[in-house]
Amino acid sequence: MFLSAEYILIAIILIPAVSAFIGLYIGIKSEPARNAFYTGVILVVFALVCTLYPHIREGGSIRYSLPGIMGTGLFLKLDMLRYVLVFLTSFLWLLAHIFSTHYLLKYKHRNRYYMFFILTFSSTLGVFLSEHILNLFTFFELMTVTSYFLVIHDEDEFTHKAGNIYITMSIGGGLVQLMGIFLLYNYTSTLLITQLPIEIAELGNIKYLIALLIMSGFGVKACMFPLHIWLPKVYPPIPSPATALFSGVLTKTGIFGIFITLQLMNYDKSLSFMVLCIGLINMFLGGLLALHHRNIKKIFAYSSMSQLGYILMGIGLIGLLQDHSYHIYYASVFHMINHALLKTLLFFGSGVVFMVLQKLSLNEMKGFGKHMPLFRFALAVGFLGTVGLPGFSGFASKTMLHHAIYESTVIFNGYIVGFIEVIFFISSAFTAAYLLKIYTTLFHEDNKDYAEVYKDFPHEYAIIPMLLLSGIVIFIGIKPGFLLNAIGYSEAYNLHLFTTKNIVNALLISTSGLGIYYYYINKRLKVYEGSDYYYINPTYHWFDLERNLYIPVISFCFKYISLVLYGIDNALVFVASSLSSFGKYLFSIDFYKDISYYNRLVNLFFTMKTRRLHHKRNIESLVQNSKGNIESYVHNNKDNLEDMVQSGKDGLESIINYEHKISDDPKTNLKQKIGDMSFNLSSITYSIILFALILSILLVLMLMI
Amino acid sequence: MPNILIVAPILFPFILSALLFLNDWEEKTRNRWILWGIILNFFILIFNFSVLEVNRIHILKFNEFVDIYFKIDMIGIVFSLLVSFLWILTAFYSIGYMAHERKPNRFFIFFTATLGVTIGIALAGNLVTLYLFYELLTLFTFPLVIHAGNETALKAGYKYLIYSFTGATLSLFGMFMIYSQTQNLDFMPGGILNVINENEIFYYFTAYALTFCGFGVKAGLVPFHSWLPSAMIAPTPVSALLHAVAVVKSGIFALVRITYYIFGPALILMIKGNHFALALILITILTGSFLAIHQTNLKKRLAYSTISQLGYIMLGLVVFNPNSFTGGMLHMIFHALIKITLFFCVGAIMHITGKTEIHEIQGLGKQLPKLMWCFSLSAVALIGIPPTSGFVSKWYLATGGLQSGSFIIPVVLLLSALLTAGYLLPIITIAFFKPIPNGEPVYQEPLPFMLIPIMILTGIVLLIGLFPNPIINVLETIANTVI
Repeated sequence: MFLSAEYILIAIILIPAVSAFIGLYIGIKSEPARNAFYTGVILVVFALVCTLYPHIREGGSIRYSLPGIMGTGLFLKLDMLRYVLVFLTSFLWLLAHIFSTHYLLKYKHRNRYYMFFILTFSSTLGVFLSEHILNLFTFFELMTVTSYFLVIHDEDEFTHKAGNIYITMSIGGGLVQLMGIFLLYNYTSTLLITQLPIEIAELGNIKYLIALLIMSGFGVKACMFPLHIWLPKVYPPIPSPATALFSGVLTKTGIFGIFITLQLMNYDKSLSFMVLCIGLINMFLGGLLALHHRNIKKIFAYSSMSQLGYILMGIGLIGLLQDHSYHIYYASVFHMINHALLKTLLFFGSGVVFMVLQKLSLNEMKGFGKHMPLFRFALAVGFLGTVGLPGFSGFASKTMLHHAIYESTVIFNGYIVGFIEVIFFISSAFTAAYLLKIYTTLFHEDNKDYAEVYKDFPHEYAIIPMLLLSGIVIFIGIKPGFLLNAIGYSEAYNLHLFTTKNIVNALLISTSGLGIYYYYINKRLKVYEGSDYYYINPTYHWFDLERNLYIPVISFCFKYISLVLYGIDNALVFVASSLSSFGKYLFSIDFYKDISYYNRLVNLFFTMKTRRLHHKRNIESLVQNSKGNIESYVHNNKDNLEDMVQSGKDGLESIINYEHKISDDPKTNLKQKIGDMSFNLSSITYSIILFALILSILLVLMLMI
Repeated sequence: MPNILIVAPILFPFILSALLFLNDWEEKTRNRWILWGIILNFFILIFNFSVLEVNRIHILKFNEFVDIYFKIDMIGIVFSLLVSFLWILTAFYSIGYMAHERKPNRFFIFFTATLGVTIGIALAGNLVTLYLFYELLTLFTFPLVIHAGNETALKAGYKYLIYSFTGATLSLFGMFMIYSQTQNLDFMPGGILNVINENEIFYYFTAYALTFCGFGVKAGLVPFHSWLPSAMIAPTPVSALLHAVAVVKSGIFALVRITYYIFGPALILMIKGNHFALALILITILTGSFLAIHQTNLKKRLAYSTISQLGYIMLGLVVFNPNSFTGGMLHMIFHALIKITLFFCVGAIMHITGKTEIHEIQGLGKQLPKLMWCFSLSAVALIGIPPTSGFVSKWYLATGGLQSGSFIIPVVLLLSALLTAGYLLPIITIAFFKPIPNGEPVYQEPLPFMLIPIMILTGIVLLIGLFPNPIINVLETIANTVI
């Protein structure tokens, strides 16, 4: 070995990070050379990852730390769970890269795509390897930023919308998470993942707040309800190999984060229960929505949501059944692996369709794959694996998760277990139904347009990764013990998965799926027009979390906070201008201008004073008199008053926009300009001082209360 | 008399400025003088800090109050080095930028003189000296603000003058109040005011509030901030250096001085002056970020962003926790580097294309990739996405805030970070991912004089985010002496 295991950890993050830029340079010269280079880089990383296996085979772990950078230092660790994820990441990245080389032929900006593709690779590996929460967060954010460039790759309206929602939710979630990390650090003063559980055990209820904040950041990536809204928006418009990785690997970073958080919280019961509930909601809601949609990538997106629900359910159960969680842990990890492989396969499939047709709606791809046997085979394996029929990988992991539900009888009463089982059953049936919908549409319709035309498709770079994946799916399906043993499950070979009961159960689920397909999808969601038909999507009229809740609330808050702050922004200028115009108004009142009126006023005052001495008629005449006085004054001074009002107005205006008053001819108006300026200067100066004093007094009062 | 050297970096820029005024040099000769002069000044400064044993010099002493003297201490070193380093890069940039602007000579005369003033602020040994240079700063930067000479520029200049002088008046009043009690205005780590009586609390509170608001005017404290967006009418190097770095940071520096070297944390905690300051600062942060989103002019957007970022720095100063102080000072340095880069980029865009509005820069990332990449990286650093520098300072600020038991500080910081992303990321997406409008001319990347400073700064911004530990160590030392 030329590298010791610790250095390999840092090497597998650094090699892709550095070579991404080298590749960009190569790519400018020659594209095939760049593709070969990047393939080589990923292969090297993959090989390095493979060499690490013996170190962690027997439950060992590798650590690496580099203090003194990024303010906190860099701490890496590799144990079995992380190894599984790292292995999957590098393997799937390799396949997606090969797939991309063909998929992207018609795209622009390929150099940029590949650079960020590799950078995302590096940061994803970083997420899985981080031992320090802050490192984890750093790589997580880096991953968000670099993958953003994959999202907006097409640079059209849809991708920008997708990119906006992706970056907004990710950064928002990231900041919420950061708040949690701040609190965590404040209460425990350490951020090393292995040390934290001990410290957190002594915390009070604050740990729930911390856990919720940290989880909401990961929850965005893990597509947890109600943070899932970005998923169906973002997946469709981005290049399919990238989608495959988003769904297959990047969601796992979220799941990994959730798992780590639960671990930190010592598998707190209430938090685990929350994760379990969210998992159930995800399972059901994802399945239900996938059933109704007709955009193939949206269906897969919701399918991801549903499958992630299974994993979340598993994680929740691990926390709830701490002492009995050994089997469930491996069931969840197993399902995670399966989902990564299967979803990558399915998204590659959608990529093939899109590559040829440039369309994603099921209505427009009827009978597309009828004459592509290899493609049909690969996708069929993917579907069957996802449904979980015996002989395919999904069967083993779903059966193990199903057993996990039985084990929860230790803590739950029969009704709850029954409820969970029903949800599990229905969601699995949904899975079967929506995949059947895609399958029949793609492969069972006769469509003249596609017959014989696309026989040469897909290209081998696209189909080989798919076939490889389907081969693995079948292999795992037949020999689940091999994989389970490899990831350290001690009873891998003592499992009896292929019992009659399990097989019947799987078949029962598939049959129900078939039933849903015939009685719901065929009857309700299909509209026939003569011999032709198309699917409808009623979910557009359903309650939409984003449209009906998030956006109104956020825009309301934003609008009114902005309004208030805008007021503060202009407060000083407003106070200054009103003060100065008030001053001007006061000075413009000329009390001595109308002597007679002044005299009359004095007379009035005296007569008013002595009115008690007079008779009533005198009072009446007096009233008449004064009335007349005022009227005549108003009459006489109408112009004067208007002038006064006008001058006040002028004052106000002159402050607000006194550049208008500066005339074109500077010489004649210089005096006026200087006068204006000194006037403004003094009035604004005093009003600022006054404002400051009032503000200080108010704040003092506030503090004293 | 070796300690006269202390004033050398303050006097030298003035001499340079006078030379520029007196000689009518060719453009090339002039540029050479400016560049070498400013670089030399930087080295004089370093020489001073490393060689001089005596660290104070009295220039003038009428009485205890009017006592002009300079002193070298750690925080002054940090600030003056930051300023003079950025001045070098700005000098390069300005030479590129001012090549086609009117009256470059006048610009450079005041530009070099302002360097001396700012270093004077950094090295001032007592509040009176600081106040003197603070007023000088207003006077010397005023011609730079109104450089364009049109009515809007004049108006902005007046506004700047009015605000600055008012602020100075407020702080002068506060100074009198302090002086009447202590008969001494020298800067001492930890403050010069001793423990006071219960019944004097209000007196000192007023003094603190007045000085804080007064110096806060230059530091962009809401509601005394509105000169800052208006002053963006100045040429971009001025906006970049003066209104993102030198002037506003002088305000911050003055706040550091009065808070930690005159009043002292213990006294301010006793008079609850920090509550008052904190309320204003949190409003500052939110106002800046929220209003930045509503700006469509690039420079104005950056100006409001400056207001909110300055709020971060001031926040670090009034929490009285070593972490917060370190965070605030770190952010002072990082924000200076980042904001000057952003302004340089915007200035270069204006210089090359004449575009000032955000919606106009569609597709500019494809035409000027180097420039826009620098802009984007700095913007990401300002948002504070790890592992960039903005994250490091925010981390210290937030943990410091939490340690002092305040939840609201990290919440406001994070909200503001989200808003920062909200006002900076659209610029990047529009520049890179919107198609180039039809009929756009082909633009060339800026001249090396402008581009190289931008690239150097971006490099520093990125590097400093990965390896901030040396700076953190220095600042933590300072924090431990003052708190």
